[in-house]
Amino acid sequence: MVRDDLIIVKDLKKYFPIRAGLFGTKGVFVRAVDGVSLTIKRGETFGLAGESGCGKSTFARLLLRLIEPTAGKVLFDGIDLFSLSKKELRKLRRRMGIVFQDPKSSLNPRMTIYNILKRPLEIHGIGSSKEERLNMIIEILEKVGLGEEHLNRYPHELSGGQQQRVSIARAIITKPDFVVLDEPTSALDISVQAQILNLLVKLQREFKLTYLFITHNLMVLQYISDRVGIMYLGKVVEIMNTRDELNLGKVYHPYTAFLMLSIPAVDIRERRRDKIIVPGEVPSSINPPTGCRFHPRCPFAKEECKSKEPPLLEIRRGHYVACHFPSITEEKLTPYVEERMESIRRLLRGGS
Amino acid sequence: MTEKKRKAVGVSMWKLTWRRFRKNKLGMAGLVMLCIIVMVAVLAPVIAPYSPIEQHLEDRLQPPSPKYLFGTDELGRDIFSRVLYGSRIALSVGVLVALISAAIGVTLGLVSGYYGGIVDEVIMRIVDIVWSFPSLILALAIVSVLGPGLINAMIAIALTMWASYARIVRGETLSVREEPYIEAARAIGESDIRILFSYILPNVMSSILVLITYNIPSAIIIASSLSFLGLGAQPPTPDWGLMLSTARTYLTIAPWYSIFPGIAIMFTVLAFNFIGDGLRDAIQPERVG
Repeated sequence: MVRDDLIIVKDLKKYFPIRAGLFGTKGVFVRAVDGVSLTIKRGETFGLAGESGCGKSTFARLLLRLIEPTAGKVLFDGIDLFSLSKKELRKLRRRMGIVFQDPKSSLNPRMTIYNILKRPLEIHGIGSSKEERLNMIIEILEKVGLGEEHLNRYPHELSGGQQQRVSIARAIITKPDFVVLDEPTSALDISVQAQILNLLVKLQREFKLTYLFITHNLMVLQYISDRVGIMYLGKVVEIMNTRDELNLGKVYHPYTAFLMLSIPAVDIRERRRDKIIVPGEVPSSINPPTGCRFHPRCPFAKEECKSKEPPLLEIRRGHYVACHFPSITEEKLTPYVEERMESIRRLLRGGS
Repeated sequence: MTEKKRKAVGVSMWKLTWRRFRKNKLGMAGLVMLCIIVMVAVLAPVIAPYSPIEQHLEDRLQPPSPKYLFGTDELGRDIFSRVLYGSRIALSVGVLVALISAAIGVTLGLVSGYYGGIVDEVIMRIVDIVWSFPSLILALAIVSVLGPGLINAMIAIALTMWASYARIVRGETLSVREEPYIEAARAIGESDIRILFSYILPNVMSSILVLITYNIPSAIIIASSLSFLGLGAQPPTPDWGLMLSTARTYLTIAPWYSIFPGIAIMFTVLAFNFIGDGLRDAIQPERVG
């Protein structure tokens, strides 16, 4: 069963020091990622959601070791990522890719599409001749819905959707195992979003990719992911299975429930009802609240929540939650969430 | 056949810059002026009626005439020929100094901005030291250590000018470094050296180019000043600064002697400044009006 886990994250932490005063740091840190443990299974799409600034993107960069962690471990197919030398890491990069949010700024404006896609092949010594590489590049361009005519274009000559297709092509041209998608559709038009999502699903099937899909759009997550993790202030508060039809919408953390209920209702009948939104603002991650980090915003918070931090525990098979009183949420909020999920599912089914 | 088709598309940023530059009247005027100077420099032996060091002692300090278009100097040398040949020295001094100082400054600026930390601190403090002196004074000091001569003067000027490249390139590197495409480059396994020279350098190149076109005229002026003070080009080199230096003795009796080299310097400096302005506006159109 170990071979089934492509990524294993153990107690991963990243604190960013804040420069205070003339003499550098005085022990003040932003705790962007504060002790995250999870596993991503081979071939699945793991969705990661949370409000802006909760550490999603930092977490993604840590998984690919684009930044160095403060503490913790990441096993990539059994390889301890943070013990690798620079050279070994560069070699392993062939097996991972990343697509960023802003398609325009993630492509070098001074390079043609051909050169952008040629570099990964050159770095990893894929293809032996120029012709062979050119053919591989054309092939991958066609896979992402572009063509030979785009080879000698510059990024600024393409539309946002086309740019994002190039980004995707660059990430998968080395046939990686694992691709991080850091809000790949957030900067695109709604109509283009759907095209890109469909493309990603198609590519995943074809190349047997494992995705970490980061977004704050829960609708998108419902559509694309197998499992979803919810992050709040540098911590994962709930992990659930979105392919579990029977228990869809069964949530145990109040934060998850509020997030789900904040998805705008499409059904007119539902819209009339009072909206339920997450109360309050996200506290600063420089001085996160003691105990459960959600307690200042939680309507069900009790004394225990203020002092004791809840661990992430398996409440049902494959369903993890970090809350002292999951049954309260289940009882008070789950019915609403289930109803909302049902309407979204109807919409998705009816729409396609 | 497909190769040809592919070349038709693909408008690089440089082509766009050129399109915008072409619409700039002053910039195009500068370019035409520069073309004239370059042609004069290349064709000097063909155009010049005399050798620049050929003395006509019987025709000393002659005013401009059909025989000597710009008059003659105190040794009877043809000022027109000397001004023509002087363009070779001015251009090579300007371009060489700008390129040497750019090579030093750009490398240090890239390293400083990309790596940060101690390396950055050290390089930037050296830049501060160099910047705290007026460039002519610093160049004077360096030349007096190295000894007078055109080559030493060029080294001295390059050593005073690299600092501005280092500072500008460092600043640009700091911002380009944070662009997602740099992170993407790292994610596909690019090495640091490669990121510095194929990703960051092309994206800071436009500012470097603008700075070079501004630095060429400053280099020419400083070189002329050093020659004027006797520390740059040595006689009988037909250097414009040197000519001005000797001409000032005869300012009242032979004003043409100083006017023509002066005009030549002004013409060259203006050409580069016009090009520099046009280039800056073409590269950063958002900063214009």
